[in-house]
Amino acid sequence: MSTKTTSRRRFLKTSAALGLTAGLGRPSYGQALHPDVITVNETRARGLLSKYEKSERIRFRQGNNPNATALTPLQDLNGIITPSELHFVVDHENGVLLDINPEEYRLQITGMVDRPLEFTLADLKRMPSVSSINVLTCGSNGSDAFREGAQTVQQTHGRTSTSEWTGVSFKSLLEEAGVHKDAKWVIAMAADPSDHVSSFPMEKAMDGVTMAAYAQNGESIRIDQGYPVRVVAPGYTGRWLVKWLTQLYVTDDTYVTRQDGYNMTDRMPDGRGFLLATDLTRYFRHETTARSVITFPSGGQTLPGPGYYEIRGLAWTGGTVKRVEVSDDDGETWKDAKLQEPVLPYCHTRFRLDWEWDGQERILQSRCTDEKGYVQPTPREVASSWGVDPSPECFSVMGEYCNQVPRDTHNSFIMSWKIAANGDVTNPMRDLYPEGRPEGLSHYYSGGHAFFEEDDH
Amino acid sequence: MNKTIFLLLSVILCLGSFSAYSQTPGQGIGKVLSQEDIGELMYTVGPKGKELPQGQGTAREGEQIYTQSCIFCHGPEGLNGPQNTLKGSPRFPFAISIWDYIHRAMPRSVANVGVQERQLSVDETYSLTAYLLYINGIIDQDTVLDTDLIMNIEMPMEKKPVN
Repeated sequence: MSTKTTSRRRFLKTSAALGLTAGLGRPSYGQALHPDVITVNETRARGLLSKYEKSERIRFRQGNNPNATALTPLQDLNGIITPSELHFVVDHENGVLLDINPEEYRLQITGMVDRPLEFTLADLKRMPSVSSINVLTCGSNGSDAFREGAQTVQQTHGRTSTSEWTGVSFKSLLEEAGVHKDAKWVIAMAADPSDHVSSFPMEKAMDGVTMAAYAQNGESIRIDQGYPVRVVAPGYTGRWLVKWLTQLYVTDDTYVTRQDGYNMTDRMPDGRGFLLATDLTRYFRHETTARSVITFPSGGQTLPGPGYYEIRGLAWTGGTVKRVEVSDDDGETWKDAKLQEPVLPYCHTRFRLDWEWDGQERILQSRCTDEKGYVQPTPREVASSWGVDPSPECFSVMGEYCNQVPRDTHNSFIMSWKIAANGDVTNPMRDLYPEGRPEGLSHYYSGGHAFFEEDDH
Repeated sequence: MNKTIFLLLSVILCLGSFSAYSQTPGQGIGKVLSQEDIGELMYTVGPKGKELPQGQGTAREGEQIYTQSCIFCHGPEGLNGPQNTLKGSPRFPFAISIWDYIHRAMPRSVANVGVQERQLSVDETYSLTAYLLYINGIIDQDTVLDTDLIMNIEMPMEKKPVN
């Protein structure tokens, strides 16, 4: 599309010469400005973004794969839906993505089924469709709050986004193939360069919403979301939601793959070894736990002076957000924030709180409680609860040894923002918690996805 | 009365049959795959090794493959490469997970050193797995890693639940 920018002044002169509209001689925009005018010479195939809008995804972590992460600009967004092109990306590639021809795409259903099947994309789109508005969150989201140089909410919490996803439920696909009665797990395999494979308990696969998704916010999913088909499973962290889905393998046992080994099984409180409930790993961190973060005011912003501000943020969990509280005194006192409708399960929930800033130094925090009664912990609460299960409910997908498994709280701890007397908002986590990230988490986030863990961690 | 019990039983039986995951006939959408078709597909190997093909290899053999295809990214003996470290404390409870990942995903193609993407044979995969186990002090250089042994490798990590 070609566009041409002319100054309004020149436009007005031309218009006047042509005797168009007499009234145009006065500023009609109410701002007494002289905005540029865009002349569009072609059909607007896609909506135009004003040149004044600079919001974009960024990368922050400089690991082995610097191009693998693109963080959602939470500080710039309103409501709960993330525009598809701003949806976060964490892939384990170095910017190497598949661009699959939808004509050539195939999805196979194999393993313990009556009829092993292969579907084309057209087959999938012919089948009954499901839509679900879901948050996707990387399990590591929040971990960078303690990273040196982390200033903005985009840098600390940009690995979470919400979209309306549409596709075919695993249930429809599996029923079409006829699942054997003794099958217990569905292994989703992907064609991505890291060959992600993830294990879904049959109950989850059959929930009617867990889906092979081909659409995001109404349009085909983006390449970096796994075009043409990815997994979406409400409540599960991003790790499980493999992109470029190619096969559902039905089996009677869980699979422990490379990705499960390095970040999806838990460790002993002293950091040694894996937690194995039986002879096989029985516990996966499937579900997101209660999380929230304030997006305004947040790091990198400046409040011009004391007075009224609406504190805004996002809360989400592997269920439904029931309550969000906000503190402006480092957790001494809390006030209930308003939850903005719609409050949907497995979804970002927007919260708001009227706030008068007195011009003093303040520590702002938000705390989410979900429908299971799980309350978002502080980093120190995470550290002290490591090794016990503070939740009232058993989360083990196998229902075994549930109370002996450390409750997964890893990176869901309460985030703080510091308002300085001059209005500058910064990330104070390293100062507030000089002991660092809670014990047990350093293994989860060792700075790289090592096949074998380096001894010095 | 008998009729009521009969109805009740019917309902219970119906509910019972619905609670099992379906083996109902499908809508006829999709192409039914033959065993040959399935043999061509990517597969993943679970910790019980049901899908693991027969084969064998040694670390000594694996070292040659490593030098040709892996060292560029992972460095000598799995250290100091631009990609993931392969030497340290094992993060896998099962040696078979290493075989599975090498088989499915390695090596990546690296054009300027002529490494071909995912061209390893079954035996080469056993050899490379043996090499990784060797440099991590789990087996000897000349231990023959085969289908039986890989199932019985004790990875040096705790295997008990927390009490």
